Amino acid sequence: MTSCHPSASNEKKTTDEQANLTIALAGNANVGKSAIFNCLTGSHQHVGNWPGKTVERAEGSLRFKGYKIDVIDLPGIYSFSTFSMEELVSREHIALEKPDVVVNVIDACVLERNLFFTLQLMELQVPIIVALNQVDLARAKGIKIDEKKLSDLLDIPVVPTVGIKGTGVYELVEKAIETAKKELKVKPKPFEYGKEVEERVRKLETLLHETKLSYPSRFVALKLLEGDQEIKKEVQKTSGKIVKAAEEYAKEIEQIHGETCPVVVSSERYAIANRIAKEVQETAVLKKTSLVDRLDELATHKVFGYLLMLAVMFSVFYAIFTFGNFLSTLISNFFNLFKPETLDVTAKILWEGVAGGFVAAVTLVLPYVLPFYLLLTILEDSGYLPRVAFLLDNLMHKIGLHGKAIIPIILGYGCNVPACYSCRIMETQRDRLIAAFVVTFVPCTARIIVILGLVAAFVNIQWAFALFLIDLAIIFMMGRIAFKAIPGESMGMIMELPSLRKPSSRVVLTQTWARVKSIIYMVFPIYMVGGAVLAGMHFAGLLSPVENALVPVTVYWLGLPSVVGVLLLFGVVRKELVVVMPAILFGTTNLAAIFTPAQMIVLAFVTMIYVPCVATFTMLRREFGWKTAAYISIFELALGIFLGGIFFRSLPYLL
Amino acid sequence: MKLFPSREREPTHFGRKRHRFQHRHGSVVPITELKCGQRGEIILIRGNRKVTQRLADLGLTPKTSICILKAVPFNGPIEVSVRGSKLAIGREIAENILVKTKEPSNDLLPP
Repeated sequence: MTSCHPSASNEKKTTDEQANLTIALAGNANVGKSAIFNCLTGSHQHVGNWPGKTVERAEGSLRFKGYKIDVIDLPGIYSFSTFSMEELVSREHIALEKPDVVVNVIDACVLERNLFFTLQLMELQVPIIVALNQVDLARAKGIKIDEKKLSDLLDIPVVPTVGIKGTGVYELVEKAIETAKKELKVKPKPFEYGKEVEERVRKLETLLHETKLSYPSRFVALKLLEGDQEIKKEVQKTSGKIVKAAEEYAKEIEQIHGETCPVVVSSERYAIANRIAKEVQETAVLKKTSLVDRLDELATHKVFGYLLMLAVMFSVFYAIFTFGNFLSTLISNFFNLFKPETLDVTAKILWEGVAGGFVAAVTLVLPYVLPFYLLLTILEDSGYLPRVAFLLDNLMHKIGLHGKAIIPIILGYGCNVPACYSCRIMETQRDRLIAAFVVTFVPCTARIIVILGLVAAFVNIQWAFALFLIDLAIIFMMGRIAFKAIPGESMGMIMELPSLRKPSSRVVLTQTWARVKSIIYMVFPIYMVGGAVLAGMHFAGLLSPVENALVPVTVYWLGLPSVVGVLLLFGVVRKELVVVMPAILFGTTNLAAIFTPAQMIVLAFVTMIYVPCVATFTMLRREFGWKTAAYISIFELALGIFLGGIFFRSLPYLL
Repeated sequence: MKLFPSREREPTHFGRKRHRFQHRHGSVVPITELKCGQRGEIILIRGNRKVTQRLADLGLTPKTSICILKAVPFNGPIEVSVRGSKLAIGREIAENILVKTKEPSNDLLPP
């Protein structure tokens, strides 16, 4: 803990005249960049043990020994080719915005592959220091790395760190400042490739000497050989001759090696990385397999893996339901003690609206949201989610996606907003859209609360489970429809399986708190304002015109009481309002007095399907544009109401 | 272009492709034909630029030693270990990774 948050101890020393520095964190996916970022800046950037969770750069700052340091957490990438958004974002940031130092975070457990990226960073000719992260995990695996030797070989400072604990982060910042401050910026000296490649790179470099490009000429030369489209376009603007020459050289290399030129360049780069890794790394063969290894064995086993997955999923839901129910009753009884007896109208609006909204939020939301996020964060941090993706790859193929898409879907059970955002881990635009569309059908905590608060609490738990199963069926069907309807290209799964690890209690607690806090800050005001607005409308007699206008849908088609019209309107803002609001309107949390069991099931079902909430809509709009977001919403509204009516008509035969 | 050729894909009967390619020692087969725990050396990766580049970035370059750890039945993905990291690779991609088996697999050895 002591070395974490260097800002805290040094804040007093800062003077008015501060030097500004910019540090960019770069490295492979899932090496702990976000953990180090959080440690440096004290922020709560999402940390999780699955590759690709940082999809856009995050920024924060810290004060350290009189410096104001801006820290930028770049998305994790394996290479600087431009096949993915993240790679392009990172490359452009480093080359064009020129941070003072790039901290290359590398995973000590997978040194060779991480060095492959380090070599490319060196080619970008920026000041670099290396954070050799997760040294504790590596040691546990029997991997010993001589960081002095590594530093000598690379000619770059190397600092061993343990990001999630904060070990070594202080030294890392010191080294970063030292590197950034150097009068003569020491540019890393890139390694040489094999003779055939090196010769041609040199020739291209001399050709490129006169052209003014934003990237170093050696980097451009290599990228030209690798056939990078973006760089080609850029060079083409100044000199078409060079591009021609590069294509010529690439062909020659292909003839010599019998492989395509990009593969040759990658192979040679890996050969260098391999040489360095062999030089500095000692691997002891561990005699006994550790518990984590055995668990890993089990987690992807062709039979037990699935059983484990089902057991995990079932126990998560069961734990949330039992614990939530218990806590909810407890809090609800507690608040009932404070209920005032007689009130005039204004006080009633205030009490029943604001306080009612607050009480409903506390009794309904927290008991379910808190344990859910706790368990979800544990699952995320342990590295289990990519294993689920691996096991369910086959199933996801049925809806035209691959295994990775299960990660946004699982996150969707928490909240659809970050889930839609995380669809960026899919490789193509089409896959992202299908995944996001499917995610909007996943019942988030808000909808889970509706289902639990209405159906499980007042009908029975079997029906609540049935609704979840029906929803799974709908997700599957909708996925298939989208798969057939949406054109575009798709790509198979290539995903790193990060090491399983014991979730760090610190990470889990801060993450859970950050998520719950955002719910409290965002949701509680909405409930309280929403509650007051509703109570006000109720007393002003404004509710009935709205209700009456919606009667054909709510009463005739769905068979629900007319008050549902207003509830569903409020539900667009936050779906829990559907169960929170009746408590305010009728002054009782006993919803059985308002709805029949069948009506509760239908209402919960409609709430589950109809339109994404405002926040999800905003995210969809941001990711896919107005039109797509609107199409999805209209489609879901129609589907929800249509299926709701059919459901209502078939319920009598089922109950 | 076929998006997911899984449905049209011919069934991979055991041993069907095993002897199609002959290399100096051992045979060249798609990595999906290896048994779990068996090691091979990458000879060739077929596929479009995006896929081959991504695989190369992750360390699957020619002559690299690769070990298959798990295979999900019914044409599911495979888990491989390469250069010290574990990767999950979808079947449609894995079938285009051709490897030379390091040691002849057991069923080729005389009893």
